[in-house]
Amino acid sequence: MLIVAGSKAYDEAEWLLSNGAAEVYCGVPGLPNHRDADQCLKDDGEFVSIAKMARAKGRRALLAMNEACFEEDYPVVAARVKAILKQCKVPVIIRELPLLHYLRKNGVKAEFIISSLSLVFNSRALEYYKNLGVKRVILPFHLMPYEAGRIIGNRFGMETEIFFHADFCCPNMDPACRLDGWLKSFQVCRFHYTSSGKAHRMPEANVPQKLDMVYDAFHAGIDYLKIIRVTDFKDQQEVLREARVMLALLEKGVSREDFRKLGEKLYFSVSRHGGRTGR
Amino acid sequence: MKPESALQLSAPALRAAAPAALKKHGLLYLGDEFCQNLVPSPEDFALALRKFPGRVVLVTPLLTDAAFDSVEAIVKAHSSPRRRLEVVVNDLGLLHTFKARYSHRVLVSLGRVFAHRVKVMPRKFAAGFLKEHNVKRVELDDPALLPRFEGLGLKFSFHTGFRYVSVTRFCPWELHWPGACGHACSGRVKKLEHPRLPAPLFLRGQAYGLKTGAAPSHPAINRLVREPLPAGGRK
Repeated sequence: MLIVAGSKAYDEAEWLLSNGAAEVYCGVPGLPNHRDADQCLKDDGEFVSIAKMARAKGRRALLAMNEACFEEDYPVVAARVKAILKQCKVPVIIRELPLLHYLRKNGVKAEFIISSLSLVFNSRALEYYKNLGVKRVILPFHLMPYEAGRIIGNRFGMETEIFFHADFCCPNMDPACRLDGWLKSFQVCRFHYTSSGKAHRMPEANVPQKLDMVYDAFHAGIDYLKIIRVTDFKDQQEVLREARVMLALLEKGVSREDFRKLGEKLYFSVSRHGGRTGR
Repeated sequence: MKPESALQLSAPALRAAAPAALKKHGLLYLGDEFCQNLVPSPEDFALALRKFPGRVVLVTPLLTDAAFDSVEAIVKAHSSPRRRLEVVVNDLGLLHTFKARYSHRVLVSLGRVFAHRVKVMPRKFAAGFLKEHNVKRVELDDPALLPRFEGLGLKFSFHTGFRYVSVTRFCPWELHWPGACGHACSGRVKKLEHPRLPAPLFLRGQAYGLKTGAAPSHPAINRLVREPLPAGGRK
């Protein structure tokens, strides 16, 4: 299982690729992606530099275009992607069907990776994508590895990728969750609600359940493990170390029970997991 | 013309429903758009056909391959070119399969989760996408979405009582990922409040949403789907 880590700066990408990540994925401002500008690179040029640096290391960079955009922006987006691809051949992570069709129709020749936000929940959905240059599909956050056997073993030769749930997992299903848009706020799902006068949190998986996701993903034969972009790079460094040790344990053939025990210690070794256990 | 009236029930609710409660409506929406554990089995669907005097519409959420098989079994058993089965679809794989293999046996209505994906598509692409997939109807619960689908030759079903805002697959009642389901949500609703919310959120099944009133008046709304919130927090 190879690690794919989100990156928002050249130096960070270099560290990630030198410390266990096989690939980095990045967004750039103006190309639609699922993060605000503070978690994107400065510009297209920085992305090209990262892609070339990754290639020199025998690794890869992926261009994240995992968000919708206005139709009037399509021509500019396509032109910029073409210009990037002319300088470095990289896969493009894509979410929206119309943008995928537009890019292909307008001569953007890339390997495409279907975003988790495209909500591919079954192998039949892969059939829709089979002739659209898609080489990999990222499982939606809320699709369990044990439910995805036919996607993982698909007959189209598409690779599969899954989020590192032992780092982060949304309580609700992005992008079918519209809470933030409704309230024009951030992480409305994590508010401290009351219900019948009692404190209430929107439930999310607890630590053993998160660890089971990682265990199951590894044993299901999923190819890539995704570590998300975060604002504080120190957090991401800790998470990458956590993931590497967990993968080493899994490669050694540790049992599920032992993985839960050891994994829990690893989980709480990450600073940002200390106060948000879900337990 | 007066819109036709439909009642939405999950499979467990259908099993518990008294026959008299089903008689007031011309249509039964059987299933759930948000939880695959509430989708009927082929046996449930057969029961609905026996128990309900009117037409039965199959309602489906995002589907894993296993749930897909169950839906496909219902389609195979209960549809034909002469007796087309209406299905509410929220899954790209199902939509694509219907187009490829069952276009002469099903009538497709775009579900509420999928409608939010289509609403951000460029209008010309959306029109072509819906036409290509034989979508004739859209399920809506928010009047704000009506203009996005107007002028595309579609009919609208408007859901009253509950407007979905979010959905999870980590069961908020039983605290586990999908799998063995004890139907702990059956007949229950949870009201969530927070000072920053303009209105309370209601948790019903695996969906969070808002309590809503009557449907808006619109010439293309020719079906009202009554989706009442359960009375309270009883088990």
